[in-house]
Amino acid sequence: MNFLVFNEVDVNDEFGRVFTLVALAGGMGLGAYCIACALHVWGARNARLTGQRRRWLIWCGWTTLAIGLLITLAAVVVQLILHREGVLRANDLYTVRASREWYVASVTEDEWVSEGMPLLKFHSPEREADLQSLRLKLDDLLLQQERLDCKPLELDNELIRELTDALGERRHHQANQHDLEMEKSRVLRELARDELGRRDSLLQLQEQIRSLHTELKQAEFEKELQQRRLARAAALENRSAISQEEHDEISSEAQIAVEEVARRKNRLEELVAARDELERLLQTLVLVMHDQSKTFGMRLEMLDQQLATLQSRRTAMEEQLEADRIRATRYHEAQRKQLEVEVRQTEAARDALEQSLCITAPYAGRIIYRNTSPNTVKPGDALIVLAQKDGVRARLRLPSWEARVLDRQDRVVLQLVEPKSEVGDVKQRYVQRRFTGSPLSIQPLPEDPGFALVELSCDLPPDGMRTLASGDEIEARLIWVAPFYFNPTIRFSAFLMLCGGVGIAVAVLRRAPETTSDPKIVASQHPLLQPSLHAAGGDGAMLHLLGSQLRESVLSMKLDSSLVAAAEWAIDRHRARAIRVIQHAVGDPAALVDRLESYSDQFMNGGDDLSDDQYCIQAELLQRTVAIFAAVLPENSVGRIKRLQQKLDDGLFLSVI
Amino acid sequence: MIAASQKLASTIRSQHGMPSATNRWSRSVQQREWVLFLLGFSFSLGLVVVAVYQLCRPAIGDPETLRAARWILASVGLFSGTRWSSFFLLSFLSRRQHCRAYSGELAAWPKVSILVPAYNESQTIESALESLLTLDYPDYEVLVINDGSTDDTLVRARRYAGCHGKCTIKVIDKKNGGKWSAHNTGFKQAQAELILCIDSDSRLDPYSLKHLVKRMISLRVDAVAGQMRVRNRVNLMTRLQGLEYLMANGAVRLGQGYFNNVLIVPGPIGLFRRTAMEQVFCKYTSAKEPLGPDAGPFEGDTFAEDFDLSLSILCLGGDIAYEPDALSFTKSPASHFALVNQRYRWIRGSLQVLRKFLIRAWREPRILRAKLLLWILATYVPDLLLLPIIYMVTLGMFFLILASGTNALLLFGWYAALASLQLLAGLFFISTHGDDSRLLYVLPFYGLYTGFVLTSAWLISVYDEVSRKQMDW
Repeated sequence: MNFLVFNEVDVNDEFGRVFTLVALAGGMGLGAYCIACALHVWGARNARLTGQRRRWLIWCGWTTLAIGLLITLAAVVVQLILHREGVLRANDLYTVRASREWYVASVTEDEWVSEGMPLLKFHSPEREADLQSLRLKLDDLLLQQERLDCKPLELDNELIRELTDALGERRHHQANQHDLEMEKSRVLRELARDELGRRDSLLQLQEQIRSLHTELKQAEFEKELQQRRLARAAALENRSAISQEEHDEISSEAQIAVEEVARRKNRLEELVAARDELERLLQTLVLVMHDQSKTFGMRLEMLDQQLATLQSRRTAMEEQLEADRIRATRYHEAQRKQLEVEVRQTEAARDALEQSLCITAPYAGRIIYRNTSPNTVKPGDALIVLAQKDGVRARLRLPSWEARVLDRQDRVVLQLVEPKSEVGDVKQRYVQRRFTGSPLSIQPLPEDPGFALVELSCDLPPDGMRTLASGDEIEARLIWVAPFYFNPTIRFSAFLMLCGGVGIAVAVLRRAPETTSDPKIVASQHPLLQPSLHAAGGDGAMLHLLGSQLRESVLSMKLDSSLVAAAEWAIDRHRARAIRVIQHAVGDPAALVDRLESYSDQFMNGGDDLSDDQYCIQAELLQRTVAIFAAVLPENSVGRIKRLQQKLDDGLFLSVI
Repeated sequence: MIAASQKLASTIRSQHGMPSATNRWSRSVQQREWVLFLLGFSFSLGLVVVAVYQLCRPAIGDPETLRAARWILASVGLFSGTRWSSFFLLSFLSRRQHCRAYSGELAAWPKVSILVPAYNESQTIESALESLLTLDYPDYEVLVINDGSTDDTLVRARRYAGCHGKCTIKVIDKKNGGKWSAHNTGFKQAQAELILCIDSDSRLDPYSLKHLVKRMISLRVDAVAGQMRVRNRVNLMTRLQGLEYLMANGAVRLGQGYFNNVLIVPGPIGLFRRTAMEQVFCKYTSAKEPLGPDAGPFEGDTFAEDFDLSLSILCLGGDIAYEPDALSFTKSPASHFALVNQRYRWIRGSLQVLRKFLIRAWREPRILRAKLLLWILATYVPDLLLLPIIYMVTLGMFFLILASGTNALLLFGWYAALASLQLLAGLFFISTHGDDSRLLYVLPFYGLYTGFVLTSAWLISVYDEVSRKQMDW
């Protein structure tokens, strides 16, 4: 539990912190106050501490205190002298080594590099030539790419020609069709116009014929009338009723009527003949129209068939042409891709070649080793060593509590451990041995309960880096010491010491007032007043006097009701203090109890000479006295007094009854 | 003196806002109680459901601290929800039962003897007697038992001795023997069939006695407990005690009263049938050898003689009801020390009674009636032994969560839920007991009061009782 370390989202804000602090402080304060009050009440109610219990409490307190102190010292010593050592190693080192045919052109001077930064640049003539050829090849490929982009698609020319021919033929047929349709419509239109004209003529003829029929009828009627007139006239002439001239006139009129009829008949015959001729012509015309229409239709149908054939041919050719276009496009695309692949291959080869000549950092980190004369080393020697930012790590095995405390630190101090030198080896010394580390992670060790594996990211001095660059491990020691109050053993021992101290304090504070050799109150001449009243004060002196007088009255068997009442009042008023002082004043309880018992026996057995009232008063007084002593006497005498009290109650009750 | 008594009675009533008895059953009050009951009961049931869910749900991904906190707070929520839902339901049913059962005045009011033990109560005895003279009851006697006072209590009490119309005051002087012995002395000299035991610093509401008698006669019970109410609400401590009397004592008694199985008849106001007390004396007290002069139904081997007597009556098959309208205004400790002292006495006395009951049950298993056993296990034992531990653990968990910075939402959520439940309970029981709603102003401190103040007294009491240390008043 992290006291006052607010690392949770809910209480990170200022208000949360203030509120939590206030609540905790208030709660702790209220709890402490309540416990203190309760202890005060408890102490007031349990004021008496006898000698034996007090000695026991003091002994326990000192023992607990001593044990706590010993444990504390031992824990401190163990924590100080115990070495916490671990292993330093560099993870994932990146080492660039010298090559036989390459020469180092340049080395980076930076200590901290980021990913991709050049570390070393090499120089090699062969590689340079290869690189140049690759570059030229790349340029060539790029040019080819451009040409290809500008080149049109390669389609089949024969197909195009055939399609063009088909389109031309189709257009021709369409033109013929159009002309034929125009001709057809013109011919049919003329025939229809002719037919209409003839039909009109026919209608006119029929009209004329009808009118002529009417005229003929009129003429015949006129003729008949004239003939009757003539007949009459003849009759008359015969009778010489009319003149010959009138008869001739009438006869001429009749002759005219007859001629009119004949003329009309002739005309009618002409018209009917004309009509018949016209009807025959119309029929012929209709037949001709029908024939012409049929002929034109056939010719148009033939043209349509030809056009359909041409259309299907055209569709087929267009599909072929489309397929050809797709083929050509694919071919073009394939060519382009091929060129791209070649470009990439060439670029990759070029980059690889360039990279082989320039070494870049694979990750961000720190250069822990740099050879100052890179062209003088043997092939295979390390030219430059790169380590990750947190790559230099120390791993230590620590007690779990210490690991938790360390985890809360920003930086701790470690020290390199000198390697043990063997006979004949040159001892590797570290000039700069101390360094700092930051905790990275803590892992509990299930197989090693109570301990944890701590990993620290270290800022190693150059001496150590040199050793690590060669791939070796270094031992490191943790110089940092955790604060003692975090040590659970020390906490426990502190708790023991606290308990012991509290016990001693309670025993000391609640002891009965002791006599001193130098009393402040002048010793009184009165035999009952003792010089040890300075602790009790003025009231204590009165209480002590009261106790003493009470004792005297019991020993002399002269019980005084006022004295008893005063003692009762004092106990009620001053409670524990009165009990303490009177107990002290009474002194040895055994003699007192003996005396009370004998007096009680005497009283119960020999009370016949008293009157009832006197007996009751004395009995009550005795009971009250016994009750007072039951309250004030120490625990080892209380039992006897209690039994005496019970005995008195029973005996006196029966006596009363 | 009569006029002064009447004035005192009206002052008492106006000071403590006691509404008249008829208003307690008005339609608006009943409707209000309905609403509060529904709210409180459903909320507590909801709390139970949430707590069960929290307990049952898998704690995948939770850190250790949060898991423990969640489990503990859920357990506390489950306990509180179950407890309060039961109290809500039983209290509501009790009130409804009371509404239906009550009807009008009794045909005849039996005589009542009021026992007032007094020890060095010179400052309060006169006002106590004057308040008793204002009781609205046709026939009663007051027996003042001076338990060997060393001040002028006897003299002051004797000024009131005599007949005061419907009331007769007698003063009995005896040597000091304790409150139990004073009660027994008064019991022996009481003439009435019904005996009301009060404290000398209690002030009864004028209608209290009628309510108690009516309840006893209508339900045919052997004892009736009244409602204790703090008289001196002068500071935060006393107001918190006033609230505690409602929510801890009143709520429990109201629920127990539904079954006429009230475990504790409080000393400041308790009405008993003489026959029931005599049965206790014959069965239990007289069985002890030898009998002292102060022997009676009250026994002096515990410091909770009122609780002891109530439990004895229940063990003998008697019934004890609760009358919330019978008010006794008592003076509560105004200082922290005095309060701890008082609770030390109460808790030790209760523990003594519990031990005595267990011994009695061991020897005589037939006294373990199901109803009695149920209420003892459901209220007495948890209140005495479990609740303080729950308070301590809950507070400890609150502060642990605060200190560790673990999910404060969990903390605030449960705190809000428990506080809301307390608020609803407070409103409900204030309504059912007719108390002043301004008591709820101190509700935010109630948790701290129970968790710190009462628990600290509980700790020292249990320690002393377990180590069997001697004890005095």
